[in-house]
Amino acid sequence: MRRFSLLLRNEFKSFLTAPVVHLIAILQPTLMYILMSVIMVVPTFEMRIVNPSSSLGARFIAAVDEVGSPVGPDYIEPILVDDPSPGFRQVVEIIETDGNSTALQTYGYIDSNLVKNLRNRLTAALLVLWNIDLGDQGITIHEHPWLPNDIPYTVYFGMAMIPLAAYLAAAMIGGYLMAQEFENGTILIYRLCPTSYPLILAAKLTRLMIIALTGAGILYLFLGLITGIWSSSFIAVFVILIPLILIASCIGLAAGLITRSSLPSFLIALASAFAFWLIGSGFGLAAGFSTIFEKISRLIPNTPIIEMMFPYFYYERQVAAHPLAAKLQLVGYTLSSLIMLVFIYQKRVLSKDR
Amino acid sequence: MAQQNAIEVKSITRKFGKLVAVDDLSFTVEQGEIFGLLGPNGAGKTTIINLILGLLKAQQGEIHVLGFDINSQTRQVYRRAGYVPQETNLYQDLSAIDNLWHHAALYCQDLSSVKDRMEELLNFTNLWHRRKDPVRTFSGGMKRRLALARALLHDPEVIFFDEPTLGVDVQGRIALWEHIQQQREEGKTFVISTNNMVEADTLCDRLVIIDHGQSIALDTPENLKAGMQYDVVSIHTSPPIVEPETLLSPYPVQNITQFEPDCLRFEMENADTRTAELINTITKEHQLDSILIARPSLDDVFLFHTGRALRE
Repeated sequence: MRRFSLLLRNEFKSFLTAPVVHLIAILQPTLMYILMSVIMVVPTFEMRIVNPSSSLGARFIAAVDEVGSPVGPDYIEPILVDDPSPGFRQVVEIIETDGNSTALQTYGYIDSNLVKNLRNRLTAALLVLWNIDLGDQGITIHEHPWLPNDIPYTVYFGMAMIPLAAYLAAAMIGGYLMAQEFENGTILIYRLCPTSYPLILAAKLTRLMIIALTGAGILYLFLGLITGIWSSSFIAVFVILIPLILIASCIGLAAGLITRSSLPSFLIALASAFAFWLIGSGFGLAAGFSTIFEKISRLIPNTPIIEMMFPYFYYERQVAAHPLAAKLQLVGYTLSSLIMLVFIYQKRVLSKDR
Repeated sequence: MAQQNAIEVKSITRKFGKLVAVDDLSFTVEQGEIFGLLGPNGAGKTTIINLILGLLKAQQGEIHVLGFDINSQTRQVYRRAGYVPQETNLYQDLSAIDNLWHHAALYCQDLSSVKDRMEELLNFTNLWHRRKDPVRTFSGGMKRRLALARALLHDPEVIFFDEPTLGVDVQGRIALWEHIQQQREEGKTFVISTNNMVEADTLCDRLVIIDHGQSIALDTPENLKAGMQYDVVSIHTSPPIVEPETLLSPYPVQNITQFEPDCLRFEMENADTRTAELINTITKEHQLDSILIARPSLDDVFLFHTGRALRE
């Protein structure tokens, strides 16, 4: 235990060898989030209902109430208007094809699942009305500042950036510092040492774990401060991140071991972090996109992580289709990553046949 | 009971593609001696150290360090061996003491006494007063001394020192030699690689001369030089001697080299006993500006065996 704590001490001393890289890796997602939260539109919804003087408007509101909404009835604020505005993109249209009437609704790709769920409810409400008499009238929807019971998109976006923050810190620092060992020749110290390498790797992973949790913690703090919304379990969120941090650490360290050069390993860490973030439910839950995208997204460890984190930010609403499958997937990825790291460490550091 | 050799190298060969870096090399290093690997750059000295330390695997032959096979008992060897590589691989942004702590965590079996050992070694290498300073602020000599202190931290029995004084000034060089000799007196075995003849001559108890990965001579520096049977004579004259072979024909000379217009170098048996006679012969037709008669150096030994100077 004393040896492990000494190894860990050495690992943290390495902060002194690359303070700028550490700060970038730890703070970049938080800075990015703060910047984006300033410029990002907060999407909530306002409905404009044509012909407010008619009885249709009142009937539509009743239909919405009847159908309900996943985020509560206050989420929808119906406003009756005289004319449908043709400039609105998000229009629910009733069209007739071959004598059959259809309610047509268009989604944007970066719309959150929350948006889509709401629209589904609206569509359902329209269908209730349709049975009565819609005639030639339409309903348009546009976004407006968020309402009290809604959780804004900034929360989803911030929540989905927490895995990014953890991944980026672990992969970037792990890769960069490992490559530096080769560039500075200090890897020789590890090649000749009698201490067992699993203990050395454990110290490195522990260091990266603590740094990554620090990076994620800072973002978590800013997410709460900016939105005023805090997750229901701070500890659960951070426990969920552990497999991703281990995977990221392994990928980062492996990049450093393979490239033996700090710039490529830095770029690999950066590219994989952002690719995982973008594909792995960074802008919306995987199920909210196309089938092919969802399949690809589910291969990325960020997706099960976000789905498992979701209830802690969204009033315990479970969105993962199979929580056990998500857990098994993460366990599998983590074990595979650790095995990969051990194999590459043996090949690149301990192997004599070079 | 006979004392066990510190290192036994038996017929090792290592190739990199078609290049034979080490060719059927054998030697032993006794415990408590300073053993030198002397040879020009690219001779294979660092490769030999890497093979002995198990950083590379020999394609043929066997290596034992303190009785342990380097391939199957690597960890036992690493517990008992220290290494100061050619490129001083210290953490430049960490302090001297932090570099030692880093090493201690990875190498020291007994962590309870490591703090005292650090103080002892930093005092020994005259670095205690700079222990909290970042290594990047150290001179080349200080870095080499710190690297030596680090290699000694886990109290190894054998220390490998690759080019100990490369890039170190004269004062630093002498200090390092003293440190190495002091450690040898305490029973440590040193294997040093060098292309510095003075270093090899001053420091080594025995040495092997390496060229193209092969051992071309192995003995004490004194015996290697004594085996040359001649003295080296260098003379400056004016005007230059045009036909030195004719002028020096009465004497048992060989390898006459004219390396400047007015400077001649040749080898001559027992030159020190015939100096006056030689001066008389030269001054009959030339003005003798200087004459130097020297015992052969290790460079001469290398020249004798390979036909070229060590520094070439």
